[in-house]
Amino acid sequence: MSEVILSATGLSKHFVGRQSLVSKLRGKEPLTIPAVDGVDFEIHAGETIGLVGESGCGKSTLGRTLVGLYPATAGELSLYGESIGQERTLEQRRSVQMIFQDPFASLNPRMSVGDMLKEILLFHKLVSKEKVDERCKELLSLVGLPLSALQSFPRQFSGGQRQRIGIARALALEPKILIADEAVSALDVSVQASIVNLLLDLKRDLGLTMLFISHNIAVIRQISDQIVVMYLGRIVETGPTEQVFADPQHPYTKLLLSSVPKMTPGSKLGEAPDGELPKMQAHFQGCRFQSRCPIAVESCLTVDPELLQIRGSHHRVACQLVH
Amino acid sequence: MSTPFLSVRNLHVDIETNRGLLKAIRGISLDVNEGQSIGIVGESGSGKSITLKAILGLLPKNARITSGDIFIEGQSLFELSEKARRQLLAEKIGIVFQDAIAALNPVLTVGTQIAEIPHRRMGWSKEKSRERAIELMTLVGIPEAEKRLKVYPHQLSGGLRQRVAIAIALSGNPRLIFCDEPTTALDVTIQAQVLRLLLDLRQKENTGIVFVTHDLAVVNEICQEVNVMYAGRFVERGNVQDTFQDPTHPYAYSLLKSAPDMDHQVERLFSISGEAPDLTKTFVGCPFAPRCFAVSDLCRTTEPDLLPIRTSLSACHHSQNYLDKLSEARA
Repeated sequence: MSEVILSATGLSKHFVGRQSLVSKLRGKEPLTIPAVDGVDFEIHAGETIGLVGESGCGKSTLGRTLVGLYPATAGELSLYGESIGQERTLEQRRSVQMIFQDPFASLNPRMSVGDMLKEILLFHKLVSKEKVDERCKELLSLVGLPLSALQSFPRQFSGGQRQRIGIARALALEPKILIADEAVSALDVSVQASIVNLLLDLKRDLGLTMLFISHNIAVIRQISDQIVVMYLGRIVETGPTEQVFADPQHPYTKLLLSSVPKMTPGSKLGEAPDGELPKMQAHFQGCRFQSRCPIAVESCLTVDPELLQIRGSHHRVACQLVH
Repeated sequence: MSTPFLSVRNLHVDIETNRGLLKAIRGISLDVNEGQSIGIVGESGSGKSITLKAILGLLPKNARITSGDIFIEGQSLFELSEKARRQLLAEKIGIVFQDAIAALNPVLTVGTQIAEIPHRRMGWSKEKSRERAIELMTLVGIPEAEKRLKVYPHQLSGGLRQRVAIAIALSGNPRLIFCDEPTTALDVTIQAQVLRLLLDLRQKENTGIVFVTHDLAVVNEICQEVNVMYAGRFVERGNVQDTFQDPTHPYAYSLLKSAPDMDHQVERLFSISGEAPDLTKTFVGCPFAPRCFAVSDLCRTTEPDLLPIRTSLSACHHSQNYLDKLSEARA
């Protein structure tokens, strides 16, 4: 296997709610939401990892913690084997870049595309002043935008083009890993297809390593080599995409995959799963999925399953009934 | 053939915008029979939501119907007084929107909202309306219906709120439900539950469904007929099975191919170059021509009509031989 770029061990991000003075004086515990709760995984060079889950499962929080937008509450994060502390060095910040869901909110409306790219290139001293224009043009052609875009402002572009600008901006820093948080979710399907193709091209041509976060399972299937399924702050299943789709092991993954509407002609909707995502709690007892699980047994109420390998493969599952 | 339940004839809708007059709907016709489920798909701006709003008389102030006619059970809506029209629509058609929290009244309990139509419009007693509300909540799968009568929308999860919205839509015993992206804001497991519910309702109560969405896979799963909309017109209409298997319009083909399918992984997704036309500007010929792989000179001068081909209707000059063109374009 190729080199490990980013690895997380026991990574957690807990959000702590605000407390009134009265409840503080009464010695009450503040409300804690363990959005990401003890997650272990590795990202290898040149690999695309698809992170899926329903809203509130912690997938965006995990992405933002990896980029450094949120400080981690606990756990270890390392880049090329070097531990990342609370204060990242400039080099470490540059290495992990992100593209966001809403391409309009994430671009400065008062800066032309050229200025935007120049600012970051010069700040990080990636090119000399003389060569900066040339590099900007290179970046634009990389993401399939016309050179005239340099003088234009974000409002002059369509949604898909804005997303291309977001990608160009992230690539300008020559990141080691790109984190795409719902990067195609706000786009129409035909535009979505062209952005997915662009990311596939960049992966092939530049050997881009990527963490692709999405709730859209069909898109994840197209783009990722490995898939990570999250449920209530934990990874419940991870493995090579083909293997997980062909043979899902965790009851939640099975339920998730069977819920997705299919494009196959004549496909008829199956029986719908019961139950809803339970509320996040500060402490869970037993397996987090047991309230919705169709095969739960008594010990699921007490035993918190670990993410373990099955049959010596790279396929890992957190369910005591599978092992 | 008997009169269709809902019939739309050559409808045109214009919207006044600050960029000029936008021709949002440019002549569409649609028939929905009793108990039929119809999907309308298209990308943003194609006019699918405006179609629903125009039928229901819910168009925004700056939009108006410029020509065309709408019939419910043979009765033209435009021949009725405003009051009679609203009464008829309220009795016959229910509607479910994408955003349930915006569609529900935040200061009334869900019980009050579900009982409102039976009580106010149908003149039922309070007690009887309340019982009807419990019945409807049970029907749409809200557990502990009696207790939940007294909760407010914000106390419910997204899936339950959408169920409440469906219960309200059903409260007047409509023959048809309009669904405007009802599951787009929901998680996929919850979406599966709501779709299952709509399917069951159609089977049990023979309620017709008009389902507007951008999600092709959802239409494939729950509709009988699909209408593909592009630039304010239907470009293809056919039964779901045939259209998904073998679309006859190049846009329908492109749209189906560009949607990722969770059953298959492909090397590259099909993508459509260019953008949809700006409907504030006048254009000649087929609106899809600049983006089409089967385009000819005829397409650039004459806009095609929606005409029968095989089991479907298609608005393309080249439906007959576009598949040949397609293989040429691939080669």
